[in-house]
Amino acid sequence: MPVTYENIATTTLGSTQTTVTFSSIPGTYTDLVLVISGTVSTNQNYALRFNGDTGSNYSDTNLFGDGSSALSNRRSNQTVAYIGVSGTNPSPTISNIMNYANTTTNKTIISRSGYATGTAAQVESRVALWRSTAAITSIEVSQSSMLSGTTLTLYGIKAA
Amino acid sequence: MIGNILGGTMGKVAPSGDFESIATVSVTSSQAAIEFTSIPSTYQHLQVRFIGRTTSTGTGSELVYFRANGVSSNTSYTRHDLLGNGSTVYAQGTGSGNSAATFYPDGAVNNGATANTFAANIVDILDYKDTNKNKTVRILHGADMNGSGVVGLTSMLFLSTSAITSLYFAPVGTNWNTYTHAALYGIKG
Repeated sequence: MPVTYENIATTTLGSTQTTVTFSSIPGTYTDLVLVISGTVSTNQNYALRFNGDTGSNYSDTNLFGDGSSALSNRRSNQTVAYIGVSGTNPSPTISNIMNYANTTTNKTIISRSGYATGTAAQVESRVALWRSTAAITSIEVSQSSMLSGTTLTLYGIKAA
Repeated sequence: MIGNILGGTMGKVAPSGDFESIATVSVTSSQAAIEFTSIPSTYQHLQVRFIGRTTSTGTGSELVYFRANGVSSNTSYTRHDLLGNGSTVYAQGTGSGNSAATFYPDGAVNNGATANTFAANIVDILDYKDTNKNKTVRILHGADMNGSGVVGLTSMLFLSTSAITSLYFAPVGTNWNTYTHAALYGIKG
């Protein structure tokens, strides 16, 4: 049976970084899954940019709870797509980039994330859109301060 | 920025067989439903991953019917949702005996919405073959259309201890559009 869920690339940061880029992504999978297990110095969103597109072609809608309130926000016509929250304690983000190699559809990304510190916490689901029918060949992940030890892994899922 | 990844660093290849592709449906012309039948009982859990767009001229997102084993009776399902539409959060639910228990919201984008845009759905069914348990279905779903859209978490209960052998997804009152794509995966325990 061919491998269906495959680790394409992974990196563990050895120092604080603001950007990590996955490039030369093969077009042989159906979906991509980006898994970030990270710690940051400032609780801000992870952001994605595809194929180096710096245009205002990204948007997203989220749903989150912070322990006392449930809220939903939207961003439109942005230069990056947010995928999830990060925290000063190790926090997970799992982002599904659906049908990334399809050249007839815009790209929808659906994600879950969360963090908890001694004084704050947030759990979130978010859907994002990259308005481009181009196949995704590179992903730039950015956050203001991804600390050493943060691990970013890109998986490919291949349908039959 | 650190050096590009993938230029020379390949990750490990995972052992084969634990997460397997069972079947795929790619819509090439308008069709009423996506169905997976004759699902083998050799896995522990199932996952369906799909993107959906309808043929409706509506401009928003669409409800999607879910059925297991061909059961359409609303007495066999319950459903709860947590949804966010960019400004408001909705928590809603319905018990068995209500028609709303047979579908979930915002699993598809209608054809009058932002061009080339599809809703995303990740459907998890744990212990699908266990004949001692009713089946819980968890769905992460949503669509952003650059100025509108919804993201949601849905939990559905299929009130049956039968092993699941078929799955059915259909937009309510309309058809799936071309390029709608669904894949069924089995996860071994």
